[in-house]
Amino acid sequence: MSVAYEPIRHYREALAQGLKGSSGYSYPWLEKQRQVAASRFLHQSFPTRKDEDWRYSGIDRVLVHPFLPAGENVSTLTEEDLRHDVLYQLDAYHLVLINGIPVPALSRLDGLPAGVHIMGMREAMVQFPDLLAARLGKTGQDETQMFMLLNRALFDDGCLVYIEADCVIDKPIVLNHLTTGLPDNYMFLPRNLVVLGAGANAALIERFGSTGPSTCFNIVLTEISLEHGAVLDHYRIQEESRHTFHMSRVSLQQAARSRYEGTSITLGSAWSRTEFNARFDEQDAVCLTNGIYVVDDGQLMDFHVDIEHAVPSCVSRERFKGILLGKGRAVFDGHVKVLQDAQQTDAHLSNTNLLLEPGAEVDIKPQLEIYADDVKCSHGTSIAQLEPEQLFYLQSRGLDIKQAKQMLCLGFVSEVLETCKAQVVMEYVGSLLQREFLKLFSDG
Amino acid sequence: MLSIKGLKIAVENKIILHDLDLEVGAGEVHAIMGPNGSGKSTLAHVLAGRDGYDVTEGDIIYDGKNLLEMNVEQRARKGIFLAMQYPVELPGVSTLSFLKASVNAMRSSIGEQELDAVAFMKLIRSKAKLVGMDEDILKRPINTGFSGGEKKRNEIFQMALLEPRLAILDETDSGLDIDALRVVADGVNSLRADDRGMILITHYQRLLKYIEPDFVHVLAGGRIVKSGDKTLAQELENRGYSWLEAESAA
Ligand SMILES: Nc1ncnc2c1ncn2[C@@H]1O[C@H](COP(=O)(O)OP(=O)(O)OP(=O)(O)O)[C@@H](O)[C@H]1O
Ligand SMILES: [Mg+2]
Repeated sequence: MSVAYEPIRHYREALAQGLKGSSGYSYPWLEKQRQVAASRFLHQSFPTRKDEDWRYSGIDRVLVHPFLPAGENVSTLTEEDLRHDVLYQLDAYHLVLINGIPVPALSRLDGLPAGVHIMGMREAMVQFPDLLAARLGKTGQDETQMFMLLNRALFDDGCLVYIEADCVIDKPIVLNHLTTGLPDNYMFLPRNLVVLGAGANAALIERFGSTGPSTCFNIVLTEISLEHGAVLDHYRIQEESRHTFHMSRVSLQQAARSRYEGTSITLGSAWSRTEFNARFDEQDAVCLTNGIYVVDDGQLMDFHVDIEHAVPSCVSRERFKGILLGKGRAVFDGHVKVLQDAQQTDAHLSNTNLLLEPGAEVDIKPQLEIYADDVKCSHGTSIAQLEPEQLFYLQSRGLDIKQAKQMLCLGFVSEVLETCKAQVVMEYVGSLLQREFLKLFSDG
Repeated sequence: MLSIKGLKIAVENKIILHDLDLEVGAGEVHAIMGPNGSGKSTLAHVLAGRDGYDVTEGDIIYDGKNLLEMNVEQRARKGIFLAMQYPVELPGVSTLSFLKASVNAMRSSIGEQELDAVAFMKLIRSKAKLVGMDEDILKRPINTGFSGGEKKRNEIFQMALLEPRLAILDETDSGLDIDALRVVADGVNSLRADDRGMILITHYQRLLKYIEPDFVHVLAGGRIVKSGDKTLAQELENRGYSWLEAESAA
């Protein structure tokens, strides 16, 4: 053991080992996808700060951990353990994944309406091989991102949400990704696929949480495809422990007249990066993404949004609001590309930040890349501090400084919070934020 | 209940108040009048504890305690209420959650149980009715997009809700229509009690027709240049301030 730890060597070995493990299902198209991803991974190296896309979000602090794929592991969680999980109590269809693997005993999927299919990815490989062959890995561009290559090469499970054409689901769907009970240095590589057939309508909550303090790495790839006129409300709530590292990609593809409304709430993890990529394939589609992030001392939160308007008459809106404390660091990179044929595009990007302490820092990079001439595109970004006059007003009515800050912070994000169409989600997120602010402001 | 002695206040090295003395006894209503820029709001802010003012000399004793040692919320919880001249807008901040936090902060500071949602709403309704406050406006974020008069009325509404011991109203009457003025006056009069004090900062004698002050003071050039009873207000209305400024310069 005289060889010093070298991240790229470690991860290459982990990949080679992982590929040998049998996933219990196999299809030629899938093996090919894995091979392509693996060989890319082996020929590339990890990005550095010299790569424009990673300039502000160094990955050294991730790579120092020799993470290994967790593979098969038995969950020790019981329903009793989740009794205090407010989200788990929601009246919804629940699929619970522990360390990236669906756990049927904890899931509640009884009484799904006809035409609605929610299941683990392994089961989906058996039940819907044709759908997966046609859809999996078909959204987004050619993959070159190292962590996503790892996921594509090694994923073993995850979930499928498939809603057939014209089906409407009566309750929200919760994909509850929990990490728990393992020794340090495991990574989880779930792969999710969401397909809404023409005219289908659903609300989906992806939640990422931890029930213990182990150091682990979540690398999640969620592909979403909305067919003609489909409507998806998509909430992502990331509230993992500060020992967790989180890398996720949402890759969205929209057909004509489809409508996507997404809200991302990011509070947890030591280091997290979310890449949201959307592509319009046909006209008259709408993509709205909103987000709230709260970044405390010692955390880094990176949000990359990439929207591509390739066809005319689509609407995209991104509105992200961030609150930073201590020496918290955030990166917001919003890129909207309007290709030559995409006339009558309506795109707006906004990112506003509230810096509560002078040591906090946010790097904002809005980019509009426009090749069409008849379009409405704009962006707005800002960084502000709490107004002393506002704090004084609240304190002069008896609130202490912590309560006053908490109120102003909730007020700051309320605009985004109010866009949550599902009342239960708005309430859950509202109280989550309230608790988070209270905790953050009572430390300092 | 309030005793100000030899108060000297500077803002960014500029002296705004010099050697100011003022005694407000329990049960008394004091009106403070004076030209623009004479330091009336400065005094009000210093009483409420706002940052940015240097108290370079003097003392403020409130209920036997050194007021200057208390922070803003401690003063509020001890019953000091400032209805602001320019109430700030707080976009996104729910008025009802704010009011609930405020009422409960006051209650728990004196060891009373916090109000639950039902009791709180009952209280809100009764006070809203008292000051003719439109309940729909309470569903909007604090002061956000409120008209000038609505903001002022909201201040009086909060005063009615919190029932302060020492209320300081900084030009709450400015910009109010006649009906609203009467509401403000009724609100103030209904709070008048033997154990409460009040400071009304105003430019207009008309408010003092509805709320009869026990004392009227003129603040000019950073100090109180004249004090008298309510007839002084009438005299000021007739003669303006210049004769006083001339008198005090002499
Ligand atoms: N933060 C500040 N920086 C500099 N000067 C200030 C500041 N705050 C107040 N002043 C000055 O102090 C003086 C008194 O202001 P103040 O607001 O107390 O007057 P006022 O008597 O309330 O006037 P008005 O009748 O117009 O409301 C003014 O000359 C004002 O410009
Ligand atoms: Mg003033």
